Amino acid sequence: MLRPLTRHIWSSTLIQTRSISSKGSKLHKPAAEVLRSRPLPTDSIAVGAHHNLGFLESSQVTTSPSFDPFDMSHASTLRATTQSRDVMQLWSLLEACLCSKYLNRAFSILQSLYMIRSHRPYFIDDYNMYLSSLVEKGSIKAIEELDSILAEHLEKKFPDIEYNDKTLAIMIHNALKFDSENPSTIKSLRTYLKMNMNGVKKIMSNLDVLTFSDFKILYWRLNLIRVSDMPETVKIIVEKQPITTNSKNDVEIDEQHHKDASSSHISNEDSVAHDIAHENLDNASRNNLSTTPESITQVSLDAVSDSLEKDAEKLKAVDTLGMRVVRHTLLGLSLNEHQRKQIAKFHFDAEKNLLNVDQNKSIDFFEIFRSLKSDTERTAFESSLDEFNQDRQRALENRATDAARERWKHDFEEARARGDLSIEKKLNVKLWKWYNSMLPLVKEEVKQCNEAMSGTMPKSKDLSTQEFKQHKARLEYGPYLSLVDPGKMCVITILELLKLNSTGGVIEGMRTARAVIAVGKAIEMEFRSEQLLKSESQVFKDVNRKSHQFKKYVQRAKSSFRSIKIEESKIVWPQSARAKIGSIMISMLIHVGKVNIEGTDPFTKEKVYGEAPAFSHGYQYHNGSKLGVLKIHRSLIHQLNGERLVASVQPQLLPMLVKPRQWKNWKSGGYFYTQSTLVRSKDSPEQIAYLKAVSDAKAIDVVYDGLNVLGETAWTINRNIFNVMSEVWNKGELFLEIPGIQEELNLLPPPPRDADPSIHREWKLKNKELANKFSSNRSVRCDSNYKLEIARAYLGEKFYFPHNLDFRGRAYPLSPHFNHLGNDMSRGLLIFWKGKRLGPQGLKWLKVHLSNLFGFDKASLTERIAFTDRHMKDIKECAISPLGPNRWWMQAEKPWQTLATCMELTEAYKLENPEDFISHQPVHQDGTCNGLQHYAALGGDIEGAAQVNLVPNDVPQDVYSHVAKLVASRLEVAAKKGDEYAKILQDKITRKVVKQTVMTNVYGVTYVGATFQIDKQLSHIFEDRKYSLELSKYLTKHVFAAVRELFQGAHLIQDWLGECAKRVSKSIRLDVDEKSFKNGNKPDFMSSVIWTTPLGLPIVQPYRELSKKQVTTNLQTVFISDPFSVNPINARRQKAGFPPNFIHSLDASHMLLSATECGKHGLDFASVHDSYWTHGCDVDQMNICLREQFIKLHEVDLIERLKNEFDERYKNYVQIARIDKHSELAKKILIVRNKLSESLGRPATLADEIYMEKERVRLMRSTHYDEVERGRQMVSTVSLVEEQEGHEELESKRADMSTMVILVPLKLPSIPPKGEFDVRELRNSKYFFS
Amino acid sequence: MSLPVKNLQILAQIKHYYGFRYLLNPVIHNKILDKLNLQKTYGNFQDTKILDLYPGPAQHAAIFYNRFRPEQYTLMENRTDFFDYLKTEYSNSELQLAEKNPYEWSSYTDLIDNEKQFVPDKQPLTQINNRFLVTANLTNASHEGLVMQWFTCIGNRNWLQRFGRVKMLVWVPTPVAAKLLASPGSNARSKCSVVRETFTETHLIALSNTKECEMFHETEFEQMSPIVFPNTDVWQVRDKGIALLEINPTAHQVDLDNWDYVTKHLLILKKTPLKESLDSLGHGGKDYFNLKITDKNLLEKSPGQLTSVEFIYLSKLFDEWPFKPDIYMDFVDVYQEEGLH
Repeated sequence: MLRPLTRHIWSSTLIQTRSISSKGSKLHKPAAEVLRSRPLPTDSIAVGAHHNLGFLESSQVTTSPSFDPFDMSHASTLRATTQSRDVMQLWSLLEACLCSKYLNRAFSILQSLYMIRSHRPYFIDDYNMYLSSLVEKGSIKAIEELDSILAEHLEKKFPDIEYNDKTLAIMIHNALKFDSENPSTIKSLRTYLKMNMNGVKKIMSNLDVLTFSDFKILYWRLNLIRVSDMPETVKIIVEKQPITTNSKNDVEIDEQHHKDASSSHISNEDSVAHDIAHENLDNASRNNLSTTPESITQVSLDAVSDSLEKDAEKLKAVDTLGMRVVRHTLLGLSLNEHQRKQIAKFHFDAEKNLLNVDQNKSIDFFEIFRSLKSDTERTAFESSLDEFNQDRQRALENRATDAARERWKHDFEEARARGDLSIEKKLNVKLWKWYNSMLPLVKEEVKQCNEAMSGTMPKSKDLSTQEFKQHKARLEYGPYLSLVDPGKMCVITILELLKLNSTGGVIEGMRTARAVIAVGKAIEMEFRSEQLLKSESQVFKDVNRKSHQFKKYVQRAKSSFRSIKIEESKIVWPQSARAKIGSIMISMLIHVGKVNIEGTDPFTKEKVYGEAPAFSHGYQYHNGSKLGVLKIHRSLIHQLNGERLVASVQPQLLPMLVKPRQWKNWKSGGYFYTQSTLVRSKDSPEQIAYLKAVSDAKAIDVVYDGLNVLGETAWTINRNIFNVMSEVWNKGELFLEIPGIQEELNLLPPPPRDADPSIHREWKLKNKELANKFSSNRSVRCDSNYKLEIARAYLGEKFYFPHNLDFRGRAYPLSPHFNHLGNDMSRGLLIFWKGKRLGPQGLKWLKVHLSNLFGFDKASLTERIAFTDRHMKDIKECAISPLGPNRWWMQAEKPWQTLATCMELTEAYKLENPEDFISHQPVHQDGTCNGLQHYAALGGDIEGAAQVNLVPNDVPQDVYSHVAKLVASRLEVAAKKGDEYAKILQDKITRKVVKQTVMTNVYGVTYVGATFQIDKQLSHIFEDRKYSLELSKYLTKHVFAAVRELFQGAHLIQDWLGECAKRVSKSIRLDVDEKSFKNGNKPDFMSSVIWTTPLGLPIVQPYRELSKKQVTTNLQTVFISDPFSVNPINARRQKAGFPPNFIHSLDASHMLLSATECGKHGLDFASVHDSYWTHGCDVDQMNICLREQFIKLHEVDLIERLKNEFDERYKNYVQIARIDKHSELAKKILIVRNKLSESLGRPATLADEIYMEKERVRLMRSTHYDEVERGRQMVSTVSLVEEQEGHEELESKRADMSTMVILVPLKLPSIPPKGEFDVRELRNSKYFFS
Repeated sequence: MSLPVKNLQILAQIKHYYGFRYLLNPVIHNKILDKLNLQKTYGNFQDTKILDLYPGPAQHAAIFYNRFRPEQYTLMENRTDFFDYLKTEYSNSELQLAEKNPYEWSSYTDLIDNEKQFVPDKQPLTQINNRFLVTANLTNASHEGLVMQWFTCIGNRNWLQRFGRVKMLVWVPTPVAAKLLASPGSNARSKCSVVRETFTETHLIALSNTKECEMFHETEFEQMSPIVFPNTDVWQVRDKGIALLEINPTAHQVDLDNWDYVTKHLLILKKTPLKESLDSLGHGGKDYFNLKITDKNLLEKSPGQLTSVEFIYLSKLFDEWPFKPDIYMDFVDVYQEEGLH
């Protein structure tokens, strides 16, 4: 039997914490004390509470993290990351082997994992995975068998490991497979329950192991557990479902029920009549929905009238009962005849109605929703729709590949049935053929892998070298290749390659490295969501869907189950596995994918026809290095441009049909079956570690709140705009930003060979330009096609955008192709699902909105309204006939959105009182140069603040015009002094010339960059390029100076931020492992700039040197970035990135705070960084929210707080400096160094000096008096510097023989003085956001 | 009147050498001129014009001039320190000084066509141009690209080569010489050596004595029997050596567009046998060429082993391929790198 119960405390193996204490930290003082350190406005105590928005707690967590920091020396970081890479590699292999049931191999992987000491604390999880697979495989013949296996493993094989509650859950689940009436089974069960480590409840919480039937038997039949032992979500279901005879019967009943449904012979028409006849009854049922669910069940069970196809297999997956209820509810609403018929005919099978691919068979839910008369009806409608959409969402996420495949098949069969002559021409037909020829190859490969995996190693002499190599490779990638259905893998491969067309700078192709990883990753994603779905149906398989209401409980239980599962997942496939799988799949596609081609015989000049591979693998030179590329055959490229893509290309990560999963921790939120992380990290384990730490400490709830508000805004497609776009699109001509169809790229003919080399060069450049233009047009058109097709699929639907953050905390929708952050076209297509009555203010704001969109946004609000009123005739004409003679809307800055607003206004004015109009149009409020707004607030610049509208004013201020004026007056002065350039430029300074530079100045544009920006403007005036550039260089200096003058305080802050970043990136931890320095005198700089946003999000700048790993695949060797690598930082990027990133982290915080606040007030809210959207009638409320939140954010001196945090985080770090060799300090240091060298018996290095200082600090911190005294006596090179007052002045910028390198304590410069501007003035500023 | 020939000690005082290196030993220079036997082509030089590119300290120019007294000898040089030196030293001599940058194509059209300062004789392709010689120094490693461009011009017959088959004497870093002279099958074989083989007859005339000499094929090196001189005769001293090539353009008749495409694409996969690598010429290339090539031994060869003749043969087959890809649509678009958000 098992070993006696011992409670091992794992804390002994806990990861080491930072050795340097954080005593005396300002951060660790109570919030109030921190605040008192600088006088704040009198009422600051009242707002003081908000400082717990998250900053304080989070900052404390990350300044003394519980994980190994990432700025140890490179060698030690490397060691640590190698280890985690190894674990990950073994994990993913373990998981793969378990899923493919290679238990022997799995066990040997377990043994390898066990060997990694640092992994021991987590090993039991891996073991449980194995044990669980053993049980699932069904080879365990008796309860005792498993007992002895477990005992054997834990005692002999893995003696350092203890079982945990999950192990017990697995044992229980296994035992319940045997006769539960048998006393010996019951005895075993009792034993297991007694063995619990943290109570029975903890065992029962293992929802991924125990099924509902397990719970039912334990609770109802055996009485072994109490109600309170069961998890919340399970409780309700189990309690409501007592066992009658045998749990298996439930399933049978369920299946029988489906069969009934499928054999129903009621025709469609009958069912319509039948349903309409039931109308009154249904009405009653709807009203009862919330009170007596049973009655609904009764009604709907009567109405067995579904027109399901006789596909028993699919039926199982569909919850027909629930859908009937949905339909009945919908029919119960006060609909018109047409709508009623539509609904009656509509196929409420989630999998059949993934999206509106076929317009004739879909319902415009939005139209129905809008036509409903009362709130009660609307509520009932929405709740039914949501329920239907729950199932559709599940299908959408899980069946996308099947849907694509069916589409191909459908088109193929249709074309064949028609005897279509152009059969070969249809893309889908082609894809279906490829699919069919690829599938047997993949199956064969999987078979070969299985044989390799299960067989013993063949003797190498029996195989050729080639075969032997192949065999070895199969052992490596085999486990991964057997996880996903071969058919699905084929579809994924085809779709991924088509999607990657013309990426990575390859015209008509893609980079091989990207392609193999993309395919591998997509297969991995498919595997994950399949796994999730599988375990979900495993756990819920015995749950009988008794009633409609009951289904809701199940749905809730499922969603919490999914969250648990997703949170658990921690395994990612190693890049090499992805690359290998990807390349296997791609090479098979290359092998089978053919296109028909046409050419000209060079001799006879006749047309010839043939077949060529659709994809080919080759290389190109790019900047002197060889680049592997996959090229798509030109004839296929033409087709990709011509056809409707959505049916052929898998639209991954589409908008969601139901509210996204709420963000609860750093990796749980967003889609149902796909894992997303809160922050998009670019392969930086460091960022993840910090994020995880604050997430575990529950310190970033405010961030989740904001993101959840963004996710819960429901949208729909603006059908009218869609129709106009569709019309324009189909013409294929250039229209606004949509380029026209261009069949062929016409290059310039080559010059004669003996033309001057300069002519050849010119020709090449021109052609390159033509090709670039051509391919960028093509990709814009392709992208627009994507957007339109997604919009088409979502016509009439209610949908949501799940969001996550970039590393600075800015929010982005997860669905990449189509969202409200997209271009004018995407934005024009989107409206709020929910409508709100305009009211007087809403109407006013709608007019302002139109004026803003048109580009008339610098005037006062009154003038903007007047602008719209003045153009009422244009507006109406455009709305009625957008493509008619009056195309006023096309002159607008944002034409599509303008048109949408024209239509909205026109509709409103059709009413007697336009204020009564129910509007769905989002109305925007945009910040005035938002980055500068934050800078002005930080720096307290009075004049600057006025120019970006932080100060109340009658008319909006325009910072660009203002800077232009400042520049002009500077030039005037210079011209008077006789400056030639100034004279020429004097009268040419407009707003436009300076705009881009002013805007990007905040984000750290360089002098060179700004010169080019300005040159872009000046080159219109001055033809001579060289001359224009000269002038631009000159002018840039003045523009920079003018911006500096205006934002004096802000610029000091910008400089200060840059300086801090520079010093941090040149600093070294004192408790670094000095022995692992590669070179004692050249320490690795490993510290990245890390700070905490006001909401508590830790921002880690990911800029480090790149390292790529080489992976050999059967296509080619690819170099892939290593997601585990932690390399020395890139100091230049750390420095350049910090000021703009810091500002972005603030604007992101402001947005999330505003989102939360708007959410609290019941507003629909969306944002595009510094543009906030809501309904017209809610703009006033939103404006209050966002002003209050800005004030709240800036009432604290954020710069001071940042300095404090830095001081704490980088305490005891040292940095490298140079001082004059002949200074007194240098002489003193040399003496200490010489002594040190003497005692070491070799020349002392900087690493030795660091060690010395570390020792000194340790002694000083000691609790023993002796040691402290010894520490005090000690003289290190650093202590010498510390003693020297004003050593900063000794620092020299020269790096030659006259200076020497020394270590100095890292000291950040003191913060610049702040101006007098009081951010509370903002409260009354009309034009802050407008 | 003979021009003064300055020695290394004096010439080493020129402050910047711009990463270029020059042989500064008159004895060796004379040995080289002996070996070159230029009189065979240019007779007594009285009708011959010499264009000297990047002459630097121009010691060799003085020696050359003193020995042959050609009709015209023009130095194209615009690097300040060299130019200033040349100006003080030779502005009143027979040597002409054109202050132009040899890197710019316009320097040549300006000198020859616009200013007409140096007008060479245009001759038919039947022989090496016997009235025009180009000498140059491209010993800065970063100018390797320019060496290759000049070779391309030889193929194209443009630039200075529009005057017929113009002989060129070019100093290059030794590794570049080794790369250019690599023969089929050798490790260093690449597009540039194929270009050299196809359009020129190039000889290794002299090189300084460094370890890099081992980069040449041993027997070939012996056959060429170059003059090997001490590396210490080179200024500025580096451990890397320099070599002098004599380049004689041939009267080739190659279909350049197709040839260019074929060689470039095949040589990316230098070591893959043709039967495997032919797909790199376009979709379906493998099938087409495998069908067309009758000599199956050729299919076993890898591009690095192919001779110039074989490349020309493959280009011809390529030209006859009905489904050949558009050879002008052949570049990576660096501007379309999509950035991450």
